Amino acid sequence: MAIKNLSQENFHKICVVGGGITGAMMVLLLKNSNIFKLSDICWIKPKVNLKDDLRTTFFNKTSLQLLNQLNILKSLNKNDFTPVKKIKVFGTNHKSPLEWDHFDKETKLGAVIKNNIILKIIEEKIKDIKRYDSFVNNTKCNKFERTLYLENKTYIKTHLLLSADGKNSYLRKLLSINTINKNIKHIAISGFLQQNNNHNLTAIQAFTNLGPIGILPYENKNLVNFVLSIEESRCKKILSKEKPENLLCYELNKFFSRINLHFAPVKKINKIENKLSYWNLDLNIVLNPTSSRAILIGDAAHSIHPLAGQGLNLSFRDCVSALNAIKNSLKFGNDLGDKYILNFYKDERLPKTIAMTAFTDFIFFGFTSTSSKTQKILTKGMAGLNKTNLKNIFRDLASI
Amino acid sequence: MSNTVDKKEIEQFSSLSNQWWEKSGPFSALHKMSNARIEFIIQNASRIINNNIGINSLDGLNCLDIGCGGGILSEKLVRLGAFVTGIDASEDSIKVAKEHAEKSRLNINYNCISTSDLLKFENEKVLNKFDLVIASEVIEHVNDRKVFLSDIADLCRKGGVVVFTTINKSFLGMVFGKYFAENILKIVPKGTHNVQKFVTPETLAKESAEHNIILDNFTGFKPTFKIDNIINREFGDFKLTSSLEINYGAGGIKI
Repeated sequence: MAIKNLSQENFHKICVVGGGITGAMMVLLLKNSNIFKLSDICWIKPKVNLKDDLRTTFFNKTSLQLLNQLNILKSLNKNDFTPVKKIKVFGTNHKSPLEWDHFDKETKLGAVIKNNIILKIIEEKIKDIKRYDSFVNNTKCNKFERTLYLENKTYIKTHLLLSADGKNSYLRKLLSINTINKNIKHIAISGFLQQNNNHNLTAIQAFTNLGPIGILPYENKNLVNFVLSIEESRCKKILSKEKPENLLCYELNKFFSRINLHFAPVKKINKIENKLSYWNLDLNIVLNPTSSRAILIGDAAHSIHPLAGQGLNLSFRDCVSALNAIKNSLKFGNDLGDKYILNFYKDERLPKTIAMTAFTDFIFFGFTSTSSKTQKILTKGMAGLNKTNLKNIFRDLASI
Repeated sequence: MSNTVDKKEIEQFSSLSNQWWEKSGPFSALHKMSNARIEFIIQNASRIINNNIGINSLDGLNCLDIGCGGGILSEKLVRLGAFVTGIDASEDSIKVAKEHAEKSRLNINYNCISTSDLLKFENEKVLNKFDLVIASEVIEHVNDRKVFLSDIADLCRKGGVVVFTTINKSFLGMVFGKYFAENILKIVPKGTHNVQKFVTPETLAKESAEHNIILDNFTGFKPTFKIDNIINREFGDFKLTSSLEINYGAGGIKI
């Protein structure tokens, strides 16, 4: 290879910012691509205490294939991987849920894995990549490279920045990239619950009186993980109670009583603590997730409603697209900051991101609507959809 | 400098040298052709390199970029893994190329010299030494094509690859390559090309063969047009085509 770095000090051809799964996945894909030497890549991963991160993700079929290719699934313990073989969607009137079934014994619709388990495995695989444990304070760009100024007074020069610094991305602000913000005034609450009977590897999506909830089977046969989206003021009231999980279960049990499904707060089982985590749902979409020598990936480029559980799946696709854009451009000998890379990424990701955002928005705003007409139409629509193969459009959309 | 160099042409390129890397400037057409040129070069280089798939498709090749100008092609070649020597008769262009490569952290051996002088002054280092010799958009600017082809034959090793890209001396080549580009679209500065120096693929093949360069791979280059290109009165990026009527590439082996 004739490419020679004239100065190795704090110069890396490609720099990934963001310590979450998306940033780690991007680094791993770059490392495994064999395009770069290890020293060409750096990872800016500020030290953040995520000790209580209980989040789990429903990884769809496409994401599972990626995790498999990267030998991540092999590193999981048996209990870390809960396959999903059935998905049920309950409307406000839940008499006729939409159902997607697995096709045969081998086929999975996806699987549920705890986020921090995946992150740990990826981190182990990329431990030989140079890390900087600091936040980015500022950034500047000239024709030849982008400079990142870190909080710890060091600076890094790079040919291409890939920023995965989350939904409140500071780099997005520094790069003056515009976002379309949707303040839905909802808060997401997540945690684990006990279910009265075997979950049978079934994931549930329901539009309850509290708000939309996603319930994922997890590990033990009656342990589930949930993400519930509740209107802000109502959520604050619930969280102000001494045992908010009791109130949540009470409301859920009212909704699911007709199908004999009953939930209770989880007791300390398999090291899973009875804790709730919650965060504001500031949703946004970025129409052009690129700037000079910079690309936004993951939640920095789009934060969608968690009701469909597609946020991280979409982020993985971003990582793959960014790598494809780089590969396609480098085969012509282009500079990493070439507009070809930026345009390729933008053109490939935008339609899919918009489709997914529109899909989750439609579901969210439709099912949280207080209009009885809307509810009637949705209930009838769901009943109709269930009789046809049209419902598979939703399943396929969830795999983009 | 030897008689392959046209002084007047060099003066024109020198006067524009600070604009080599402006993608919408006087060399925009070269930038827009560059991916297609690289595709054609890789296609030809595949004769002498086995592992030419992916991003290191020219890995380890000793490559000479004749008339490198500001280094548009040289930088791409080095990123593809080649060891690149870039030569140009314009001192100003070489200065721009050197600065740009340094700022891009690329290692390229640039030299302000003609092919004849390179053979004269650095004979031992360069005679029959290059695996890949490229003269892209150059042959239509040289004074004495026969001397130029003879120099190329001396610089390329036996079994090495030679690649030319140029404008056809055809009706369409003259209309689009000269008048349309210089006067209507104004993507090339007026007076850049002299149609008398254009050469047909047949003539180029015949003259090259006289110097043991067997050209057997010919491909055309055609511009693409997207809506924003039409609005901005410009070409889009070039693609390879079977028609050799306007811009074309010729590749072959030195025997």
